[in-house]
Amino acid sequence: MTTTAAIPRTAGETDDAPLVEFAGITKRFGAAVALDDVTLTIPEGQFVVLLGPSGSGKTTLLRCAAGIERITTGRITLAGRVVDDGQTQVSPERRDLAMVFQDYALWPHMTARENVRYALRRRRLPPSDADARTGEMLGKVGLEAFGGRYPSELSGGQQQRVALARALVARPHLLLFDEPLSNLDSNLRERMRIEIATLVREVGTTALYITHDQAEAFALADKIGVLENGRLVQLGTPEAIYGDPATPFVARLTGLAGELVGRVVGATTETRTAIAVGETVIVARTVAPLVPASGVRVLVRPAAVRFAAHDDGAVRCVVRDVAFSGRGYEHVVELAGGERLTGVFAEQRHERGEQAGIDLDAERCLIYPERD
Amino acid sequence: MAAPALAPDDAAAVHAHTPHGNDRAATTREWSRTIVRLPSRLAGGALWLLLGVLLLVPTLCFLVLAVSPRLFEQGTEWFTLRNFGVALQGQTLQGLLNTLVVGVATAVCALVIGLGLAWLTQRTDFGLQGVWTILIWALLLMPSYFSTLGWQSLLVRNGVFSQIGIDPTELRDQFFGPIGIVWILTTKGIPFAYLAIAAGLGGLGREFEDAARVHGATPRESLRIAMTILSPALWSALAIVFAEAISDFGVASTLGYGARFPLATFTLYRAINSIPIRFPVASVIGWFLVSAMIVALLVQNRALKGRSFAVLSGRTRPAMPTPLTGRGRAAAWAAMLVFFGLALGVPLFGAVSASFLLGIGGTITRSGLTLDNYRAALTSRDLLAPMLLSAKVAAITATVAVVLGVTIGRIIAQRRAGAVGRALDLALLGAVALPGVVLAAGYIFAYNLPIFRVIGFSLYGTVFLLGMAYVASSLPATTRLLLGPLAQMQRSLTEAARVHGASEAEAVRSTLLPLMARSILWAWLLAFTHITLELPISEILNPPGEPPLAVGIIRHLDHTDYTTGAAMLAVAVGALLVVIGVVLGVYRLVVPAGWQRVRAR
Repeated sequence: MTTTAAIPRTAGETDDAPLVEFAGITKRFGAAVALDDVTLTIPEGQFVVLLGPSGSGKTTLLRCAAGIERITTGRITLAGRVVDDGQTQVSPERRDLAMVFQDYALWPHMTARENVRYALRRRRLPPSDADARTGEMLGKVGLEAFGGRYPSELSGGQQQRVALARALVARPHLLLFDEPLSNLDSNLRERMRIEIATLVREVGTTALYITHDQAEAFALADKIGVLENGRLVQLGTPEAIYGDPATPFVARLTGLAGELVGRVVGATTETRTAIAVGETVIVARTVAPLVPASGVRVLVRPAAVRFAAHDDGAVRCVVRDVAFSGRGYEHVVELAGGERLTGVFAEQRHERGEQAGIDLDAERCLIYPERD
Repeated sequence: MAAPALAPDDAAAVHAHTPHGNDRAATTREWSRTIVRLPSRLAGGALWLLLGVLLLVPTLCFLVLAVSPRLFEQGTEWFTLRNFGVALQGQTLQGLLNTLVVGVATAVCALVIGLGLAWLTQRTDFGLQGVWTILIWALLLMPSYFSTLGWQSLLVRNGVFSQIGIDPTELRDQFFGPIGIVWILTTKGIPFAYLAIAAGLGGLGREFEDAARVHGATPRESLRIAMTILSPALWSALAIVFAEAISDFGVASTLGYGARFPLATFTLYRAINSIPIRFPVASVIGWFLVSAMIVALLVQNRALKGRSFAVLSGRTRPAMPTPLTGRGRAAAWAAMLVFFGLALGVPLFGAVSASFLLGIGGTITRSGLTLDNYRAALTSRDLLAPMLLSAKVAAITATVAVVLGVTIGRIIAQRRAGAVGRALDLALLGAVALPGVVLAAGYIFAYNLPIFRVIGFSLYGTVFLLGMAYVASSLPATTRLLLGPLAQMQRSLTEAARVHGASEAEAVRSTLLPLMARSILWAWLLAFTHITLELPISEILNPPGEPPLAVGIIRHLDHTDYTTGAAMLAVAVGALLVVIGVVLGVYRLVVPAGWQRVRAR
């Protein structure tokens, strides 16, 4: 059976020895289908991020991997052993994995050290070794001096580090992350993201991380899987997911300046097509087979839009809004047909109401048939 | 034996060769899944069976008796409504009407006072919150017949007041009737109202009132908004106090009986404990009590339609307490002292002082102080042995109730428990309000059925049956008490333990138990105290020759040996306080420091 063939695989994928295999996973809650025939293989040592909006099934898949949820049909294999096939299930404590929870799930009646040490029980180490490993791990996350504190005596970032240390200390086969940064402010988020990336790669463990934040996914992942309504719609490297989104959904999820509705007017080549958007004709990249004169949707990446230095060939627009972003200005511009493009960056400020021209980089404007 | 499992690939292969292969594979899978989940289904079934044995069957048996007396050898008719006509007249009808009036009046009074107390402790800087909480718990733990005893000791002819030179005639005439009954039941109901409202107020925050004020509302209008949002708590308080008031037996059998003001629970008791025994009439009274409680719950439900405590969220900030002015603080102090003085101080003083008097009541010839009552109490057959029996039975049954309460509470608290969880929730919500007399009377029928005699299995008249009834009576309240902390406990805490190597039992031991320990301890103490001094079930299911504590004490209070009865009650309450102190002390000494940090929010 070649279920994987249905999922677009893009450049950069390898066929290393798999540590985790999800084969045709379906999970139903009553009549609701949370996961629909998901097949995914994670090679050993790889950092895979599952990206999807709320309700796409990513948390369910992670919980199935952890053994907290049972799958309805399919098969999950971990390190060569079937851990769930819909009928028999290996309990979570026997899967040799660890997890960082969205709410950290630190036990309030244990100190930071006790929380971390708890995960070493299954290793049955002599107490002195367990203490040494716990101390070493707390040191790695910069909390050596805070081991005696209870979770309520730690800041959000420190709690997050304890959760990370608890997950890493036993050097499990598989590390699961359930949107661990979603409760942090943006500064701390960035710092913790770097710490997670560094520590996980230092330990060399395999990681499955879920998030709805595309920036987080791009920054962390060796490979990204995109989930939509319980289905895995694309799997590939961050560059491949961003550069060649398999569907408009993937393109939207990974960041757009806006969408333009138009019609195919020029000759369609393998890579470029001319599209009439209102009175204006633009050239964009062909990512799917197109029918001449058919209706299409052009999905424009933020980096595709630049204020034009000259009027020749520029698309006319009016600046509707401007926001200072530190390194420059983010603009919202409106085209003649009323379509708006957001996040148009310029180092110079363009005032609201100003008539301007923009250049569109055809490589980053993606054409999909209107039915998508 | 489980059918062999088919891997998806195998299933696909079968499908390729046989038109119905897929159906067969799916059926096999369903069977396998059913067998794998059999243990948990059996456990669920056992739980329902237990609830059936403890609560549902006895109650239903007793209620069915009114319409089908022949089923229980209490008449010739298989179906009749005649018993309703017989019951709804004379003293019995008067008792039912009195009960309704007392229930409504008590609910309203307890709501007003409970709201005041909750507002003062939750919304102002009045302080000493710990002290007020202890006093509220003391009210909760004090049996209603203790309060009655205290007031009676003070007010009766030649009572404590008379002996210290105060003429209580006017107050006595007022108190020995509906006013006194409503007051004592109100003091018993206030803790329920207070706990419901304080929890609601705690989660309310002040944003709603602030929003009203900045958008032009006067203080009174913004208060009205807060009250509207708080209405689920207020309706819950009304419903639960009403239910507690109409199901009370302690006041009905003491003050109500003495003041010739019949109340339903006591008329039910009389119907099954005096000649001629009228079980069908008792059953009709049971119907009335249960129906009144269902109506109260329906009224609450209707008043709340669509509204809920959805105001509680992670963003709700606790309200900053309003500073009291000098005059306000003085008024608050005066109100608190008067209330707790009347609700706790006066009955306590009455009961304790009566226990030191030579005699009390209309015909006494001697007055003065003595320790003879305590000597008599400590040598009485009705105190020490019954106290030991009650303490032993209470310790066992409270433990069973807490274990079952945690199990059921966990099922209800799991959001995906679905229909089973909702049904359990509903069954226990209804059972919270089930009067002890109805339950106990139900036990007489369910466990004295002819079939039990035929098979030679007789529980009737045993301490075991009494224990079962105690478990049944304390299980609903214990479960509801534990449900709050269980629902607040994040599921991820036990899931994290599982993922990091703990088995299910180990995860419960290392996470759920420490986090719930304080709530479990309090639930156990409440159940233990309630059972030790429990009256209606003890009276009705009292095993021959082995009277429980409350029965032993009431015998003395009922039979002119009033001062010895007071001394016995003082000793019993004192011993209970010692037990509570010791248990709390041991908890503090024994459990790890981390456990003690966890406080139920």
